[in-house]
Amino acid sequence: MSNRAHVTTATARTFAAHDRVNEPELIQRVLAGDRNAARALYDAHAERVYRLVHRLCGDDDLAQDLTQETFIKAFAQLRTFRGDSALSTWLHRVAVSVAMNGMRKVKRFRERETEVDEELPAVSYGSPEQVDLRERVAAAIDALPEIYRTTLIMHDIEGYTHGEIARTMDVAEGTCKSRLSHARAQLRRVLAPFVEGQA
Amino acid sequence: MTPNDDDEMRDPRNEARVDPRVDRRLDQVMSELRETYNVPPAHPPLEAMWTEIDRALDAVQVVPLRPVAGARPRRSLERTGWGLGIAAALLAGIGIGRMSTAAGVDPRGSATRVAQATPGVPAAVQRASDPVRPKPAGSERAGGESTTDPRPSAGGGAERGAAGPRRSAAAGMTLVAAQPTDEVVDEESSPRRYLGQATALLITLAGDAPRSGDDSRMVRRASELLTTTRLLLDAPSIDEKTRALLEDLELVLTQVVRLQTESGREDLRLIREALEQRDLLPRLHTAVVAGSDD
Repeated sequence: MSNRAHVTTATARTFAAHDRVNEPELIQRVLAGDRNAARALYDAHAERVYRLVHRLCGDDDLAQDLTQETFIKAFAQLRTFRGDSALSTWLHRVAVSVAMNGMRKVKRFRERETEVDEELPAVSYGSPEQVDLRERVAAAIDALPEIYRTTLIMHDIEGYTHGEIARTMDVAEGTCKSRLSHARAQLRRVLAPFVEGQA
Repeated sequence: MTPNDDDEMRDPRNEARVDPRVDRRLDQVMSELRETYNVPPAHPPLEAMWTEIDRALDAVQVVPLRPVAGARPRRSLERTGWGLGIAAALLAGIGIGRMSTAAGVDPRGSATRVAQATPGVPAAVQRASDPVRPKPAGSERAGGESTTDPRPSAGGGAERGAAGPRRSAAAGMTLVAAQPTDEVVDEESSPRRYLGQATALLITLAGDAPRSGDDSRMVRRASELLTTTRLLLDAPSIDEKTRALLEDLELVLTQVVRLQTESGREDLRLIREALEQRDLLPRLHTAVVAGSDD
């Protein structure tokens, strides 16, 4: 199954879950101490949140940890959710915030470590040139400032709309588009020598 | 959340400058990266995550801040100094710390797991070690510690027996740490206790004593302190100086937790170096003194 298809399937599952439950009612039940309701909300949103967090951090264990923190914080702060946006948007906002903070800590910690991280070899396919190009672009994505990187990953990799990203990151849609444009411009600079070399 | 097939947008100013071949290639590479870039596992560990969330919710709940009848007036942070900032924020974590102390920490706990699996990665969430013990009937604290907000806890209902809400300096929120109710939290001594425990642990680490069978106890202690430290870091009320101290403490404690499974002596040497480089012990001593002055 292609990734896009997987995204669509996950989205469909999310909406299907929403259809089954009345979220405002679930929220009230969670606030009243109903752990089953909390589980229902978790079931409806966890996979999508985990996917996004994993795309952002790229590590199974860290993604698990950050997803857990997202839901713990979300449930702890659920009373502050006023319903101005969809719960999924609010959850994604918490998730992106948690992920960014968590990744800053990781980066800071790794910078202090004297040991050299030994990365596991990535599973790759395609010709060496294709792999090299993908790896260079992936490295360029990693090197983007976090707001550009987050926007690019959400839009180009995970398939969120500008409206969804804007609401999640609490910015105007125009800002979101500008960030994406900036991010892609950075990537084009990485790609240009390859394309020109092939011409 | 829906896919964005109909939402692609390019900045026309950039389009004018962009080589269309490069742009086509970028689209192609981005399409490929959907299959290769930080790809999540096909089956996320949903149950495992819920287990940790469920345990954490047992330990910490949040209810809106409401006036507490008979409560002492809050002193301003400006007047009482940053030590009281720690005190206020610590109320969030002390219950969890005590619970961990009372019940022991599972050495296979998530913090350890994450530290093992991802060296250098601070665990974002650590689970509380055990479910909360039921609260004996009539064990609520009296007087100023009682609450006018007797709503059932979000952690599973009133039978879970959360103690009265502990007010934190976090605006508009009260963190409620479920805890064994036969223990009474001494709010005045909490910051000193936390800082004292951290200091004691770091002094032990800084010493030259060889590693021994006490390692597991030290690691467990570090894990407990790490939980409390992270909860403190989440409190918006702490000042920058305190935050910097807590962040450095978090880094060292995370390294200590890693001692459990990784080659010990080299790590211990690195921890000692970190202690020296960050002047952590002197800063903790200062913090203890400041807390005592409050």
